[in-house]
Amino acid sequence: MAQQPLLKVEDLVVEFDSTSGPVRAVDGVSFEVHEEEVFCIVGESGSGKSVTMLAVMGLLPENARIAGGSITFRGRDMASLTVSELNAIRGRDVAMVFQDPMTSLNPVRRVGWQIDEMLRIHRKDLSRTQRADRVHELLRSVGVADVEEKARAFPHQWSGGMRQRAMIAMAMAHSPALLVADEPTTALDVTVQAEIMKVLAEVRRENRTSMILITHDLGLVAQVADRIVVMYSGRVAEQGDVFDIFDRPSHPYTAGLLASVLGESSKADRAYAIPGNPPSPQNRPPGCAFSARCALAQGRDMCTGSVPVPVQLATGHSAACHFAHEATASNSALLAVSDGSVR
Amino acid sequence: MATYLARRIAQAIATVLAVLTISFFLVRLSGSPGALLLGDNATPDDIAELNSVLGFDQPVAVQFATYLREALGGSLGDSYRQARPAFDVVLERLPATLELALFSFVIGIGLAFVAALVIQLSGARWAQAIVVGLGAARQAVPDFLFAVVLVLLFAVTLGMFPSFGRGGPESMVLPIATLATAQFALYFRLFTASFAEQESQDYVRTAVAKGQSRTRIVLDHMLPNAILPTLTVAGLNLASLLGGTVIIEMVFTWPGMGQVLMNAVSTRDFPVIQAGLVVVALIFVTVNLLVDLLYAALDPRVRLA
Repeated sequence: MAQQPLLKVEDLVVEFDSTSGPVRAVDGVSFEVHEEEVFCIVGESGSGKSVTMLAVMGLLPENARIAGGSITFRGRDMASLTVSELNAIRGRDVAMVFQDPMTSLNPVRRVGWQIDEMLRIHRKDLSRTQRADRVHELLRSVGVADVEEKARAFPHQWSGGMRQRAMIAMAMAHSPALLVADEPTTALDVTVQAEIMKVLAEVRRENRTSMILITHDLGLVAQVADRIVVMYSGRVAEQGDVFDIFDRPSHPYTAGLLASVLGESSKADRAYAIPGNPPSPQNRPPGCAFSARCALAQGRDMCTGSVPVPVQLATGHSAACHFAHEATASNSALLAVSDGSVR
Repeated sequence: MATYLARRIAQAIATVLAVLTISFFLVRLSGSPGALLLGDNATPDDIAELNSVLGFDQPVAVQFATYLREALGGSLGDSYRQARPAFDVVLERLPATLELALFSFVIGIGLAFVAALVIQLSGARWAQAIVVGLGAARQAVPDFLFAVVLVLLFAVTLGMFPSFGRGGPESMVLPIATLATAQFALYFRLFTASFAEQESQDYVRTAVAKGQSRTRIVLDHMLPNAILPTLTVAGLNLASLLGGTVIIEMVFTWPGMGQVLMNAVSTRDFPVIQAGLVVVALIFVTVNLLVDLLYAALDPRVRLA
């Protein structure tokens, strides 16, 4: 932990243009990712988790921009790089696996061609046959059989799970230091999800790659995460290691998320649900974005009056709640009620 | 592939048969042609005799049977006006129409493709806005009016090009300029919209995340995908262009198929009308078949079966 973090995001602000002016989809997000760890970004749809990573990769759509903060990868400020400098890093040092393998591959190009493209971009020293060997080797490393025949096929001839394997093979082409996986199993059949996570774990271990896993699946997070950041409405609600988050949640939102998952497994009662809906970034309430849905906030001026700053609870564990210490206690009560243990 | 082709050829035959049938009954809705062919001074006996010679005194069912039997033998009878095979009358004009339509199509779609691609590669939004604006202005002007303006400017005032007829290459400039500008506007918009649609596709984001350069993303990834949707439109459009650039042929007195068809309609030269429609139908089915084959060659997801 003493070494420099692999990726450091500080006070990141991402704004989208809208007819009613700029909207902050990501509002002051900070976190660090270290070498060889699995870092999970957890949140509901619209919480800004994917947008955060698109900003890191320089993949924001045209109507969005980084409006503040900094992104430092291996000591280099990503926002200040030219496109060609960024292109030298993308794919080689930082690779990405996207949510939907059906649409993330080009439908008119052979799968092998698309994996080979990674080598054509970053390994200009390799010959055609060397590249072909490497493509086959990569496909084998993600558990694909008959690689020569498969490489010649088009994406529509592959199943969803196989395509996600191809995406992983592509991402691992240069043993990147950081792999960003944006909901890599969400679009897949449940039976395939576990296989894909296993493949990800294997290639990650072999290549000593750090992984940022973006997901809303807390069960998955409990299995693989080293450290976790919980996002809510474009802001960080809580971050800490896997034990901090699952055993000592200190933000009412984290506790609500956990309780809703735990409730599923309890036979007696219906699943717990956090009352209300998450606010869209345009309609984010003043003060704490979670205040309207929060059991602790009811009537307290502070919650609607000022945006909470992260409260340090232990080394590496913080929660952006005015009443974080109080929340820790009431959260244990909520979790006890919803019956069961997480891990 | 063989079964696919066999099925498409069967479809083409069915289409041509339908065109033959419809054109047969459609032209007869206007009555027997005897009176019109002989003019105002003809006696009723003359008219009746001519109608009988042409077979119009027989029941329609008999006429239709005769007509089909001849058509299957590759003939639609002789032109009433010119007393020679109707197909000859139409086909001798085909090269003039093909010349006009093909040059206009190739120039229009070629320039539109190059312009759209260059703008896509350079990201020059302002240039795109200007070209789209000019194209919309061109499309807002009817072809005949645009042609007349070109004639006034370049033929009458400047005397650079002939205003009518089919002579040397210079006689082609104004008619082709009229058609090609309209084609350019159409295809530029199509290509631009098609590229814009690809821009937001996930596979483009994947390519950016790989560290691929903008130029290669446009050429290797977006281009093959962007061409596909324009193919279908191009096929239909080319076929209708080949089928007759009637208005342009009238304005420039271009001796093409459109002109022959117009004359045949106004003089009720039934065999020529029918021959013209069959030729147009054949052009349509052929071009559409070629487009489908090309589509299958370009898009691996399409299977011909």
